[in-house]
Amino acid sequence: MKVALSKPTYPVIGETDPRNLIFSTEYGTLKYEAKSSIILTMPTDSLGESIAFNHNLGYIPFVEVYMENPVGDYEYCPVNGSGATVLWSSTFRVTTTQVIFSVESTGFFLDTDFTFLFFIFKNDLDL
Amino acid sequence: MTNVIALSKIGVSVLGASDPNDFIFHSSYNTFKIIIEGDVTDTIPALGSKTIQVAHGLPFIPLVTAFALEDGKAWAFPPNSPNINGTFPRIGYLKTGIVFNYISADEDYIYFNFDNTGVANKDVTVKFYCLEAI
Repeated sequence: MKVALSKPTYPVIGETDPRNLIFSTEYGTLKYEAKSSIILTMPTDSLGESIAFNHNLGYIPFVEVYMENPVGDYEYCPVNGSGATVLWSSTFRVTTTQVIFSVESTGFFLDTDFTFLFFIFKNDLDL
Repeated sequence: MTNVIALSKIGVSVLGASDPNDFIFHSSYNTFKIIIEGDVTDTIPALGSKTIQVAHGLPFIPLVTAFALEDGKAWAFPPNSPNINGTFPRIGYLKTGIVFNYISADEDYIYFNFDNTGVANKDVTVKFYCLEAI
């Protein structure tokens, strides 16, 4: 027995194409455990820094990460960016206990904050 | 009259809510369905590149997301990124040598492209999800 909801104009009975379904118990979904943010401050004399968030799930979860770039826009991480005299990039790693966010940059004359906005899902990558 | 099935978040009235972010589920909004998930392991040759190809068997080009795990490492890393062991203030990224360059997909296959700048072959495992038609 299954539960399904079809999109408007599609009869739910007999519909098997997932493109025509809003929801079906035949397919899993991404369910998020937490939404949070963390600020990594890059000292002006540093080329690379990392900061960790503890999730302590005991497995490597699916995550989605966005980073606020130095001009104030959120970009999907990993990010590579540049300005007139500056370069920056960011990435992340996911362990069974942490999400570790990293930034590599050069050319900033002041300490610079990089804000990571992230979603940690319950879904186990099973890696 | 359109019927709606909705579940609101705890503390939010399902009848009064109108912000999609207040719902756990709402039948007026489509959801990303995990249509296929799987994993594949392959060897990236030393000082070389490899595109890992997986047949998806779907009647459409899927939206694909994935993570990779390099053999011997305890973490997953995303596409469009080098794999790094960490960072150092005087170095920047301390890279492992494996780079997950991109994911692409067509009518038949999903492609995962990697570089290996190291002098030894390395195995990577890719966990992937096909979520929707593009």
